[in-house]
Amino acid sequence: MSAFKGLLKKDFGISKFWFLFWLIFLLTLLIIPLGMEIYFHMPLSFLPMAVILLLGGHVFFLPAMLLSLLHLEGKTQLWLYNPQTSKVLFLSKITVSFVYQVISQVLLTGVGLTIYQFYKNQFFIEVSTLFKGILVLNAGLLLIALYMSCWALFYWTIYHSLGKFPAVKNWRWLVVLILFFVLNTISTLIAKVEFIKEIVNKWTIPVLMNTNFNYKQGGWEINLNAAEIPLAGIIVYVITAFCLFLISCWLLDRKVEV
Amino acid sequence: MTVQLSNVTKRYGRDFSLKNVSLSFEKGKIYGLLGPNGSGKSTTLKMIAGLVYPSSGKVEVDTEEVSRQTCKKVAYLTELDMFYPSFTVGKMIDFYASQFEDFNSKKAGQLLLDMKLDRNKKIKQLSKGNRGRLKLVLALSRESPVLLLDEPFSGLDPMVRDSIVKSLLSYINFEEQTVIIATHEIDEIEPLLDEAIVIFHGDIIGQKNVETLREEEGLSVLEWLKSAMAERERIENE
Amino acid sequence: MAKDFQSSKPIYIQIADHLSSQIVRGEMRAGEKLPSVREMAIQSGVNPNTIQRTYSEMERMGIVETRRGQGTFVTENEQVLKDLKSRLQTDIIHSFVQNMKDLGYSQEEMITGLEQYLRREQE
Repeated sequence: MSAFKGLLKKDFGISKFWFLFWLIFLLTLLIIPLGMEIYFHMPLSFLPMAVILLLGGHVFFLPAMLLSLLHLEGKTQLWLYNPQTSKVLFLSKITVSFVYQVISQVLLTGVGLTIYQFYKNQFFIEVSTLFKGILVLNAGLLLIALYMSCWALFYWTIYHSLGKFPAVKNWRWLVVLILFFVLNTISTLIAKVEFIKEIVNKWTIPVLMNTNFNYKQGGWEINLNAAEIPLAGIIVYVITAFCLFLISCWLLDRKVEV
Repeated sequence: MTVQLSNVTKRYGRDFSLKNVSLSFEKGKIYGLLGPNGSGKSTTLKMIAGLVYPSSGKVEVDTEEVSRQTCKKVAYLTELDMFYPSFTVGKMIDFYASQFEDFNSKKAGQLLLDMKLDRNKKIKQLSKGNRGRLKLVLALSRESPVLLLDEPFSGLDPMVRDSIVKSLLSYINFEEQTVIIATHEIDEIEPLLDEAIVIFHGDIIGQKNVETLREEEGLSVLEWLKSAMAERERIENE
Repeated sequence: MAKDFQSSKPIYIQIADHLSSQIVRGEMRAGEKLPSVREMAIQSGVNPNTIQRTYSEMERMGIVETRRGQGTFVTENEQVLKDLKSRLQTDIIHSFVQNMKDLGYSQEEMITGLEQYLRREQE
């Protein structure tokens, strides 16, 4: 068994019950609105909304799962007693969380499509458009979740790097919080600069994204609009994520101690 | 393989865990790192394993400064609970085997038999003694040039201790390994040691060959340790 | 066994003494193979380097001999074994006499005391 496979197996092993609980939780959150629909005789009211909300909530799923995995290891940090590089250690956890998220999203998308099958004649969407929309939505969710995960990694390693300084040990969370606000303020300020705005909006790629739902006279009207996504913005996000990941690896290697 | 600490200091804020410690360990010997709790034994071992970095000074294993990758060469038994409770004994062994190239699964199998550990048992169902045994299985199954044992007897009853001493003697590769055992329980391991090092408040206050100590001063390690510590406390109080 | 060592004497000598008395008592015969260093280490809970030293010391005294690739054996030299036995006897007598002297007995008293003891034991 290769080292990475061994790590994956271990990380799946320690988290599989969490994922199982998540699926049960998810199911409960779908059954309740379904029950309400039946009770209030309002077909296609609560359930699709629940599906959409849950799917949207997935941007937080990967970072949350990742943080749970890290929290477990962080109790002793003895997972660092391992000859694999910190990149590999992190990647294993990200991979496992990513796979969980894909499964969870596929499940919800499946539920959504099933609902759609029942009420097909009330919608007017072309199959190819629907397909593209689903794909873009899911891919987008995964990418945003990955981006958020890099931030989660970054703050987690900062928090644990501070552990060896007794002076701040009990106030680590505050330091992380302040850092969070400072970094957010800086990025907001940068985004306001006209010159940068111009560059960012210079090249864009159209993506089917904006979905409008309207409930009209017992039926749904859905519009899928093409949204313009700035290319430079994406590049900035990718580079940011990459840098955050590398900084986290460096911190884990050099500054986090057992 | 030699392990070398040169003027190593480890500070946590204003507190010192180690103060300007220089030590050298060579192949083929068993060292006892002895001292009361909180004297800096664990920190020293963690530094050799690359899990803690010195505030100043240098720690080298085989002339290379330690990093996280050093654990390739260093087998380390921690005093902490290191397991994933939901894992079975077998899964834990397999995980170690996948991570460390020098892990000898055959040896692990033999050790499990010797220690009467059941592969299929969940770790959370193991008694404290059996968890201690499992830690030892994981450390001794590695054919690493350096073996570090942090409090291998802590919390174990005398019967288990005897069996652990026997396993150490059976499975340590005396010609090839550098072995360092940190403990405050000296009775059990004295006959195992070549050299005894006393550490106290982050300071090395003595290093002696165990047999020379008996030959020249007529003292057991425990007697020597007590007198060395009393001497140090007297000096500190003056 | 680990805790049975006296603190004032090197462990390798204590093990050598133990083996010597085993040989004299006939628990180990002339020409018999001794356990390997590692086996002996495990049996007695002692560092193999110490056992190695025990064996070297006994070899120097001629009590055991190491045959290349075969192991360590009790010597078959009768004279050496006889000397060993008388040496142990001397050791025991020495400590007996020392103890008696400490208690304040004279030479004659020691001898009569010993004779009386042996007579009583025979009956």
